[in-house]
Amino acid sequence: MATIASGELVGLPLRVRRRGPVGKVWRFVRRRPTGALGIVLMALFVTIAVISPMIVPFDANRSVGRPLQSPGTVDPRTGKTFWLGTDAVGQDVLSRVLQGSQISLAVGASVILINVTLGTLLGMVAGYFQGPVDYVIQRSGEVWSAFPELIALLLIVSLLGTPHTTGGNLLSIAFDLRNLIFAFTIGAVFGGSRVVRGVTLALKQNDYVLAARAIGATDTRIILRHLLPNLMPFVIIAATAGLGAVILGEATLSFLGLGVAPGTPSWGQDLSGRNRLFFREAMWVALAPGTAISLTVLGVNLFGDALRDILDPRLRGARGRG
Amino acid sequence: MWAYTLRRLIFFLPVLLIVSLLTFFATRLVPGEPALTFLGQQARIEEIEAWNRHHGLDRPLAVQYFDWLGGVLRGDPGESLAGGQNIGSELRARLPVTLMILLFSFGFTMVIGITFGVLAAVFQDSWLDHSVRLFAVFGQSIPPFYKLTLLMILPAIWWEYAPPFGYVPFWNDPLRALQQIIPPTLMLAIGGSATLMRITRTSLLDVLRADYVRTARSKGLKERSVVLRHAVRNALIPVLTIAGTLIAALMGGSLILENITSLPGLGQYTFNGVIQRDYNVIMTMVMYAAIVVMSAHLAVDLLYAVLDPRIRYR
Repeated sequence: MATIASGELVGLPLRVRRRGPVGKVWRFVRRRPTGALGIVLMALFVTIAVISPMIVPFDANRSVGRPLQSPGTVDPRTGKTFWLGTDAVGQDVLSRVLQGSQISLAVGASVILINVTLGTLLGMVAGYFQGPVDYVIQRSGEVWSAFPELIALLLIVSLLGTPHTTGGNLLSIAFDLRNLIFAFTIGAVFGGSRVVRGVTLALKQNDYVLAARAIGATDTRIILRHLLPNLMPFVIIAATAGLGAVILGEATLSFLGLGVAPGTPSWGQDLSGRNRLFFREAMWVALAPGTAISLTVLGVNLFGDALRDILDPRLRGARGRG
Repeated sequence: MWAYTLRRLIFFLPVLLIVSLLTFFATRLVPGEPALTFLGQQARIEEIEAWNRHHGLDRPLAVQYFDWLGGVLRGDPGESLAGGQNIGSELRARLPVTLMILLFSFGFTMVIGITFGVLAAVFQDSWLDHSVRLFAVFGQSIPPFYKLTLLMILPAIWWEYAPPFGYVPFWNDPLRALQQIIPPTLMLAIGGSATLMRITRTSLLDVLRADYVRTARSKGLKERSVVLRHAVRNALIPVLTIAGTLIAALMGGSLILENITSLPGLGQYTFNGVIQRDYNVIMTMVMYAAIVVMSAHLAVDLLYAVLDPRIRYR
């Protein structure tokens, strides 16, 4: 190959070091340790959410011991340990924290999937065709942006009804929580489509679009084959940024009592309600779910940052930016 | 610029109209009897009908809407369904509380965010820079309601300290009011200032590499005046954009703060209105929120022109 040959001439090493999958992972860990930490935290979160029904030591929905037992107390009846203590009604805190991850993941993942699909579609149509479609999407976005997000979410969920879930696998939970997911997607779609619209407007000016049109490519083909792949980095960045926000949003709504129905194991919920009266005597009841949600969002944010550094061409190669 | 401002203000009207229509019909068309919330689940049909008649809810929706609109245009947002209090007087009583919360949390966010963002950029890759970035990542990841919960329990456990109980208006006892307002608003400011720090840092680093900054340095200007007088001003444009969206976020934050600290502000009022499906309260609060948010966006757009004279609005 030409480049290697010229490298040889100027005395550069001829052999390019090939990396196997392990080498690639190692390189990523060394170059972006925080991003790697983010991936570990996210993987932990997803794994726990998937297998939590199998690993919870107690039934998370029932009171299984005396209320407000401190962490590490052994249950005299069953001989099992409450590793993180019990809450105000005697439910096992560890089991609830483990199972609470299901709600966060089910809501977060569904919202992001729907939002990315719809937002990308709308944004591309608006940016590519412009005209009346664009006008309507833009104006609806403006009207929507007049609502403060939290108030809009509260209003929608309270009108549709606080959803109830009986647990089970992630898909059935997501289906049970469709009201909540719907509330989040309305706003997120407008936000996401605006980003995509902007990028599409810029990409459309590229020569390769003109070239494609010249050889008779249809609009659909140009959008799907030429614009979409170039949009993906922005879509992925927006999706990870959105995931953290949705997980926080669901926890906030549940904290205010309008996310999931009372009693459902959810991180936001466990920081409110009856538990709140006892935090001063039983701090662990607050610390466990609070730490769980903070670590999860931290993982998503760190991962998102690393991803943005890698994918955003404007930042590529610029070290030490933030 | 005045013409531009006027045109933007006129544009408020159709948006507010659409927002009010959406909210009005969304709240009323969704099944459910608000009467049951106020009369109890065992209320008899005649009672519910009488209650609806009393509050004018038995009339056609269009009539109700125009009745409400007429009231608002005359400056009367109507009565709360819950206790029949006049919403206008309730607003006047609660607005100062929320205004204080918004003012303090916005002020803290801006000051902390911009100061440390600038410091991190100026001392890039120093320990200060690294701590700022660490703080920013953590600050964004801990939900506001958890920070505020910790604020309520940790001082109580460590020093047996509790903020003064029961709300007092600022002018009656400023010291006590500040004790109630400053700690929670500082907590609320962490999330937003974390975002601002990162934006300020990135944006200032970009500007510091610009040619005109090199020129300023080569003229022999002191580093201090290069950064503060030449660079920061230009770096603030993206910061301003975020500051505009911050207002909407802080209104949500204020609702959470009031919920945790039991300060009787507009957030609580909105929250209770939504929970009880108190039609008139919801309408008023949504309109109020929309006006605040749109004004914030307008203010940001106008400030762009102040920061950068090249931006002109016609």
